Amino acid sequence: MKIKEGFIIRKVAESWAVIPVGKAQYDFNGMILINQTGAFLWNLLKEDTDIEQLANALCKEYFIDKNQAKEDVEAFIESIKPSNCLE
Amino acid sequence: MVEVPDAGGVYTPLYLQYSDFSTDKPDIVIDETKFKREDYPTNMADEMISYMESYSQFCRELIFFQGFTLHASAVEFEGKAYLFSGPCGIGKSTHTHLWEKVFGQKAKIFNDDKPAIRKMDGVWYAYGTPWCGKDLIQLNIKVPIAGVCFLKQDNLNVIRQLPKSEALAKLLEQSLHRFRNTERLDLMLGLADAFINEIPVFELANRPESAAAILSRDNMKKIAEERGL
Repeated sequence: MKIKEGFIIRKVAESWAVIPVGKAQYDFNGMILINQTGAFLWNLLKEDTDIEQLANALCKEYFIDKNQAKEDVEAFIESIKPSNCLE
Repeated sequence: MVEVPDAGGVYTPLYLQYSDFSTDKPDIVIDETKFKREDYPTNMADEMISYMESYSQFCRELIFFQGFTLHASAVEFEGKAYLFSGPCGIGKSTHTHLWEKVFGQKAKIFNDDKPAIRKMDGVWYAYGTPWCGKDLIQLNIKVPIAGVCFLKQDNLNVIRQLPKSEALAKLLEQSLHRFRNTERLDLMLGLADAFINEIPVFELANRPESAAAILSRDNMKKIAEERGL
């Protein structure tokens, strides 16, 4: 699972804005605002990865337990799904 | 700064409207040979297509001058600009007209559809532009911005200052023009970032009545003064 081509992420004010550019706009004509943790996961998703690996990375970075990390990752994936940015 | 060439014939009304804004040395030249008529419904009036296409070109070039436009009605009050924004039909123009009614000569609408915004010498200015709506309310002036307010319709009048993330989403909704390239989009986000960090943004739930104008003026002016704007 990874982020499709054509989405840019940029810090704006206190959030990270994710916006499609070019062809990606045909799938999703909007913008997502994500927080720091989301931006951390987003960057990892630039390479092909899975929920397990993302949860592990979250554990290491934020000192939380595995189950919590997994829940957080799943919640994040659900939140960005409507934008059609994952493949 | 902006030149809209005289096309003659069908486009003459558009040219005449824009002639207030012509200067000797344009930084941006609207090229009507690039208007994409095919993107619009076939029964749409040519003047309307020209309005939208020339606006589109303007936005795409303005970004390179560190400027962007906002879908808003802009009113000048005591030397400061107050911008009222939101989707079509939400009551932007109604609200600024209320300002003129309630505050008389002290309030003057200087653009009723799409003012340009740009930071010059450390100050964020709102500019009159030729893209000023069907009532042709326009003044070729620039006014320092005191605040931006997004409107929504309700049965009562309540104003609140928006947290930055909400302000950002609303600002981009009413200004983000479909940029096809990353460079322009990145510039736009940079401008939005800087703007939200410096200019207070509000949301006003309101009924179309004088009390709403007084509420927005009082609150926006107070915060602007506290911030030294």
